[in-house]
Amino acid sequence: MIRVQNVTKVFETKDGPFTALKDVSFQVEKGEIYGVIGFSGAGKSTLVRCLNHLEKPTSGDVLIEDRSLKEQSAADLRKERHRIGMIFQHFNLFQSRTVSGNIAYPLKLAKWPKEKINQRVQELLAFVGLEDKAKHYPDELSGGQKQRVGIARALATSPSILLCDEATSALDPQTTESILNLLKRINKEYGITIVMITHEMQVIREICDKVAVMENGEIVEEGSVFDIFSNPQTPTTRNFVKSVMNDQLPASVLDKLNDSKQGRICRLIFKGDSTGVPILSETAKAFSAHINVLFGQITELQGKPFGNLIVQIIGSEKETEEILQYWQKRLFVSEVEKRAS
Amino acid sequence: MQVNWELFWPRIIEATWDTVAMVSFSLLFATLIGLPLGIIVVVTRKGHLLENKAIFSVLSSIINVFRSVPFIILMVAIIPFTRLVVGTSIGTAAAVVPLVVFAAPYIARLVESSLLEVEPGVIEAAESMGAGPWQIIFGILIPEALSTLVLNITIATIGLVGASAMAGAVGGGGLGDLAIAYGYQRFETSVMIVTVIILIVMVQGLQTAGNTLSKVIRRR
Repeated sequence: MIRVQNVTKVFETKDGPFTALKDVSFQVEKGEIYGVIGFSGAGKSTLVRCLNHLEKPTSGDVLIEDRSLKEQSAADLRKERHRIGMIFQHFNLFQSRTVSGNIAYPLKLAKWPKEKINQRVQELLAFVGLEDKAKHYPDELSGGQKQRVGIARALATSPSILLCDEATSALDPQTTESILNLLKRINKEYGITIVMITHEMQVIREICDKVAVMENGEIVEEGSVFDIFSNPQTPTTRNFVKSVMNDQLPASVLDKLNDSKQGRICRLIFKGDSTGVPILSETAKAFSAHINVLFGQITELQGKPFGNLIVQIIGSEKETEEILQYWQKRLFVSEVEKRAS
Repeated sequence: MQVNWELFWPRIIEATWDTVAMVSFSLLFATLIGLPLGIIVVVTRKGHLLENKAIFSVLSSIINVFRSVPFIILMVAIIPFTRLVVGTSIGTAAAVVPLVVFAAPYIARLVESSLLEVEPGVIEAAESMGAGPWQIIFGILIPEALSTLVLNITIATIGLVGASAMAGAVGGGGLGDLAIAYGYQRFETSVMIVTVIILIVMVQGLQTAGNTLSKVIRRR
């Protein structure tokens, strides 16, 4: 378990102090995949480096399994890092060492005996599917293979936590997919807690259980991935959700509808069980108003179905209100505003 | 005037060996001083492994002072120091002292630029695995920079060949001495030409060896 308590980080720059993190607090449960998303400069990279104290917070503390990092000596902190693996956007492999040499390095630091190191390296190579590359140098590998080496190296000392700093941002979509699947497997098979820093909402949707949205050094929103995607609260979060959900009416359609002033436009959100309800046909039978479907999408989030429907109700004022009330009892309804939605 | 080659060849060979000895010993000692100096100047800079502003500024300034004195002046200026170290100010051994004083700060700067080429991310990765500053310096920083380091030390070695020839001007022995004493002062042009050719061959050989070694280390 990771507990971040009121962490603030101030950097001294030429133009005066710069606050990269402002009083950040959150908690990551054991075995969870926790995502932190934000635009570049939001402070995510600084935050993840505070988790293994590559950056020392100016104030506040980070607790790993109830052990405060603040109070540890340099030597204890180095031991603590054997229990926290880290992978990077640009892989940061040692060019002067082979694939095996890279994976063996953390084990050498942890003073493992030679035979055990060899055995463990073989095990890890098999796990990430790179047995045939053991003697190769990093510059002979593709991006995806390099990240696999990075992952094997980070897992060498069997850490309980894996920190991922934009681990898929330098990879193409297909390779990203395979790396995310590998991370999922690591999480499932070894129960390793994963903290993912990313600017790609796709990554959050694919593998995270919980997500924190960062902006200007602060966490502006936090919750389960399902809640954040289905009901984003802040403009930043909405922007990120928009980037992968594509749940917006085309502007031209919206303009036309706004101009015609006919009926009311609503967004219906189906979550989990409510996706099974034949709500539109029920409504059509119970009321005489017309219901025009403008947009619809059903996706899966965290194994739960999530539907998003934009409809236009054309009928009398009174009946429209009745329909809205009827819907509100069963699902989440919001009115689509003029211009933007 | 006909050159008496029977007389000159043994001298040329002796002078060549003197040059080789001067360059080898001064390279050895200059590296022993310059390598740690370069490492310290890298790791004590701002934001690095063992940040220490005082050490960094002092060492960097000292390096700059020695780097700004032309070799020919340095050689004369430190004669008292040379006497103190080797007991004489003339001859091959005496030439090694100013050569070391000349080359050590130069090598320090070359080591510095080689080590700074190592990606900060790679150092960070080692830190994230729990490596300490010394483990990172010797286990990551130097191995990662080694191939560049070899190329840069080659540059320093060739610089030393040139400087050792200059040492001839103050009776330092070696090929430079021979070229000046016979080729220049006695107008034996052919002796001068032979020494220059030997120097060219030496520099070519060194550069080729350096390139090859660097490539072997890089394994590409």
